[in-house]
Amino acid sequence: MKTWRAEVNVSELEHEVFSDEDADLLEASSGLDRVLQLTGALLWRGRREQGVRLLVIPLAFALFFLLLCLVTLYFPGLLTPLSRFAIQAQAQAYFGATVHGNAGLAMALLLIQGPYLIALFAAFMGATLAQNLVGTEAARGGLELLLSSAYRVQEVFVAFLLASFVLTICQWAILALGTLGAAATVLALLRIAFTLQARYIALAVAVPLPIALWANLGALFLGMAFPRLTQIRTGSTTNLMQLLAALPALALLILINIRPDLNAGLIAAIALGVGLAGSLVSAVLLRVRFRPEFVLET
Amino acid sequence: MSTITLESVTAGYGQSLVLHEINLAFDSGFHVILGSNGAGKTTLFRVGVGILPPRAGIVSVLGYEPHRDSEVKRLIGYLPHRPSLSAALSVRDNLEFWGQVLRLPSAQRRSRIDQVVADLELSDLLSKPAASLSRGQAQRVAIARALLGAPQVLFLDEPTTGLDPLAARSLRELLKGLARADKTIIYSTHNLYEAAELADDVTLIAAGRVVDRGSVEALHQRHARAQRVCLTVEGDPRTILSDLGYEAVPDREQWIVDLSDRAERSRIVAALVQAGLPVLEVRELGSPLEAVYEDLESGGQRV
Repeated sequence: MKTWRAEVNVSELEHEVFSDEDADLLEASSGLDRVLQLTGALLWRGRREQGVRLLVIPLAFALFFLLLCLVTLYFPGLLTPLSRFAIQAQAQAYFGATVHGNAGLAMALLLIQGPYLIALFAAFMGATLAQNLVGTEAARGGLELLLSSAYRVQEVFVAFLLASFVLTICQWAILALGTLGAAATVLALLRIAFTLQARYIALAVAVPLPIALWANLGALFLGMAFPRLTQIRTGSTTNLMQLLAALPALALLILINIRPDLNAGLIAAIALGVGLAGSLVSAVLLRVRFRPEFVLET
Repeated sequence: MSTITLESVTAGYGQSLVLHEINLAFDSGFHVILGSNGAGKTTLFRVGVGILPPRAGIVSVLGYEPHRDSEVKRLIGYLPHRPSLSAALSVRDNLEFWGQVLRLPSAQRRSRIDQVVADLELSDLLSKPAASLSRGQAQRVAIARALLGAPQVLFLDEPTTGLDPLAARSLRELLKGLARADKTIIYSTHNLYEAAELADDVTLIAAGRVVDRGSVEALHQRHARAQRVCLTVEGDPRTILSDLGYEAVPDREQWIVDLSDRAERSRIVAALVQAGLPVLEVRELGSPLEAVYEDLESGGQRV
């Protein structure tokens, strides 16, 4: 029995069973090439399937956050004078800005709380996107088809992970730009001077990356190791899976929130490293433990 | 070397074994796998395609083990039991996506899509979302997807399910052409007429074991003991046939007789001729595989 190797001599094969065309087609490609090709295909399909929803969902969330802040400030009695003072003090501490007026306070509140809300969104969107990707695929028999194509199971897993990560990050970026960009623009229009500190930028930009990765990884691993759970469309099981997948990401978010003295950038870097290592371990685990019957109808 | 070989292959899911000690070899041509529901046809296909690793034994396709050497799968086309299309995508996008999965360069992808669209007569459906397709239309798209990579080996699990008669006939013609072009086609079906029309050989599977294998005619000879015939006779043969223990049912100018054994055919013809009733025609009714299948279902002799 021959074993496929990257250095396989194609001309040898021609004389056995393949035509010239087949031999060209079968030029061995590396695992990384295969993963990137499959990721590209999954991203292409994700973009076509989701269409404008990829843009509309995060923008709707941005609008929701904006309205939430405005309603909080404009409805009398929702915020006590002490709370208003607290927002002003936080704005001073975060951005060195002296905020005045309801609109200014609302935007400052959005800027302060935005990164947490956006990271929360990244956790749940990441879990949902990844779970939908593998769950829908398993339910329609697409995983069987993918496993019949020229990819190993761990390559399929990593490609799913990369594709869902990129899609999650795209949605997070739209939401972050929509929310924080709008808040910053309004503050600038109100001529309220503010500066963004490094800690804030780390919190807003770096923290969501590992959070999205962890949520994607959790949902995908659970989805491929326990696909029956993702195929149950009763609602409660789906929500539980999403919660389980998003739980580590939420824990990280809570840690950063209750310990503001910690270096958010460093935590994000460590968490990203843990996420990448976790991805590799998961891929190896799946290679060893994955049974095709998990995803095949019998 | 055969294109596909299975040596002492045992396979299954979890604790249950579905295939037991399967030994088969297929060269280019049209090979039909026949068996009832649950006989193990789909599992055999999954093993052949490399989705399901065998528990024991060796599977080889084009000289490679597909469950280990994933690159060889690029030369294998697979139609699973379900069409498994992306519902939200159009037909063209479904084919485009699969072309990307197959890693076809973009120019080749476009030309292959054009080719399979023409072969499967899908041009009217190209912009339709897969969710809006009928079962038969979705099946045609799934077949087109299986053919997209111009595979050397095709595993088709009940491909004519849901197709209307004309579409089924077109597909059969297309597949016959591929078989003539040295492709190896492994085809499971419940349609016995289709199997008899297409097959270079038929493999009978029951309870995860190969029961028999051979040409349609050879299997018929071995398994078809009972047979329904249509007789064209000058006169009324009922009395003579009744004496021989058979009932003749009139059907316009002819008579339908169920024989318990194919060998009885010459005996009744001789008796009728001897009684002065010339027999103008004796025609077998039903697919030659029908009796084989009935024998298989009734636990016919395994070889």
